[in-house]
Order: sequence, then structure tokens, then C-alpha cells
Amino acid sequence: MNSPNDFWLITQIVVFNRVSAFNTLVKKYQSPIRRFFLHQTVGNESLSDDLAQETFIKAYKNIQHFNKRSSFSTWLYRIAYNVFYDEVRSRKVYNNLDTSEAAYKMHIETKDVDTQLDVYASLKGLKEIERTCIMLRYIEDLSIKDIAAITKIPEGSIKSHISRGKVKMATYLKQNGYEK
Amino acid sequence: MDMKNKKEDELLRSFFKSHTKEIEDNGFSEKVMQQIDQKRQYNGRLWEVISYGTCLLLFFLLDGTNAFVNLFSKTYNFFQLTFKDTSLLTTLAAELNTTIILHILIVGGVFIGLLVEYLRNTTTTH
Repeated sequence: MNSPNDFWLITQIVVFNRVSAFNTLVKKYQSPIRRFFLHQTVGNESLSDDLAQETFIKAYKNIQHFNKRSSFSTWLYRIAYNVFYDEVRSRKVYNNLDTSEAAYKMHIETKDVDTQLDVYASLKGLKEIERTCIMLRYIEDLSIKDIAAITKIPEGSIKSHISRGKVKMATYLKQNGYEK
Repeated sequence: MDMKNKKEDELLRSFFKSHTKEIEDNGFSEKVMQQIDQKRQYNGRLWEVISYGTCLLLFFLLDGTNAFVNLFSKTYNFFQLTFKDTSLLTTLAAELNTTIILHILIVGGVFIGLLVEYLRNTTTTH
């Protein structure tokens, strides 16, 4: 996901104040970041897009603080993670979200309502932190080390969250006929 | 236990692989860039006001109006008398002291700043 090209784009933004370089980064990372929020909010599309926008704006404002020790995507996920948990702290709405309604709203124009419904329903059974870890591990394919860097949680705890989340997810999937 | 773990791992991977897809941009990037542009313009304006305010303050604190009146009266005298006595040219140069030069720099800076800002706004809207 990350490439040396990202560093060149960041240099252009920081040194030459070239906004078009940031536009390239937004286009490149909009899908994983919006997907991150979609899964975290179990399918609330408008809220996801608002949070994703906030993430990119914060990234732009703080891009001079980006140190190249981590990849740009890890840094961006870190901001997204903070934006999401700030939102959770400020308004506890997600527990009240009706999964079917959220999925319906999101995929009203698509044919795969049922499959997306299953994704959100399966994720809804997890605690927020388990959902974050499972998503980053299995959907975004990040390493435990990267997830620990994003969440600032020790690697051992990440493994525990993933393990617990995985058991819950597997149980749900088996009950819904997804086992091969 | 390990086998079970592996199976669950595979189950989750295949489930997410078949259920997740790329999200189309559909104008999202454009919206983000519009917001960033608005913030940049606001910050630019703020700096503009601060810079010009500082220049104006310095101008009055350093008695700029008086210096300008002096400068213009001396220039007027110079043009009036220059053809009569060429030694006046050296006298005027000597009288252009550092305060006057400073005022010229301040006013020149403001004009250059305004020009640069104007050019920036007309060329880098996107």
C-alpha cells in the first residue's frame, strides 16, 4: 500500500506547498480509509464520509509532523483511529445503530445488500477495539506491529483482541452457513 | 487448538475477501480538496491581515507620514533646482537617511505582497 512515491508526494506538499500532490494521496487512500470508517460505524455511509474527510483534513494540517519512521498509510490510519474514537467519545451512537437499516441505507442502490448486511452484522457482534483490530488485520491486511503502532496498544493485547474477535466472528459465520 | 485457529483464520480471510471491495471515489476527493482550499484561503487571509497590520503599525510608529512628506518635498525641490545646480544631486542622496529608506521598504513590501497575493490567487486556485 505504501510506496516511495508517497514520500515524494509528501515532500512536494511540505517543501513546495503543492496541494495537487495531496490530492493524489487522497485519491490513493480514500478507499481504505472510507472502508475503515464504514466497518467501524457498521455501515453508516454519511458519517463514514464525514469522518474520512476529517481524517484527510487533519492529515493535511499535520503533514509536516509526519516522520518517515512509519509508512504514510500507518500514519493515516492512526489519525483515522483517533478521529473515530474521538467521535465515539463525543457521541455514543453506534451501539444503537440498527445494522440492517445501516446496510440498507448504504447499499440501497446495489444488489449485494445481503452480503454487506452479513459483514456489518458480524462486525456488530464485536467490541469496538476488537472490530478495529479484526478489520485492520483481515480486511486491510496489516501486520500486528502496524496495528500496534496505529492503536498505541501493546502487540500482546492486539493479539488477544484479534483472537477474541476471531472466535466471535467465526462462530457467527458458522451459524450463518459460511463454513466450507 | 492450533488447527482450529488456522481454520478460523482461513474462514475470516475468505469471508472478508469475498465481501469487501474498493470504494469508488464519486467526488469524495474533490470535496476534501475544496475544504482544504477554503482553509488555506482563510489562513492566507489571516496572515495577510497580520502582515499588513504590522506594516501599517510600523509605518506610523516610525513617523512614516512625516518622513514621506519630507521625501516628497525634497524630491520636489530637487526637480525644481536640479537643472540649476548639479551638486544638489549629491546633497539629496546624503539626506536619504536610513529612516526614509526603511519607510520605502515597508511600503514597497506591502505593494509587492499585494501583487504576489493577487498573482497567487489568480494562478493557483487549483
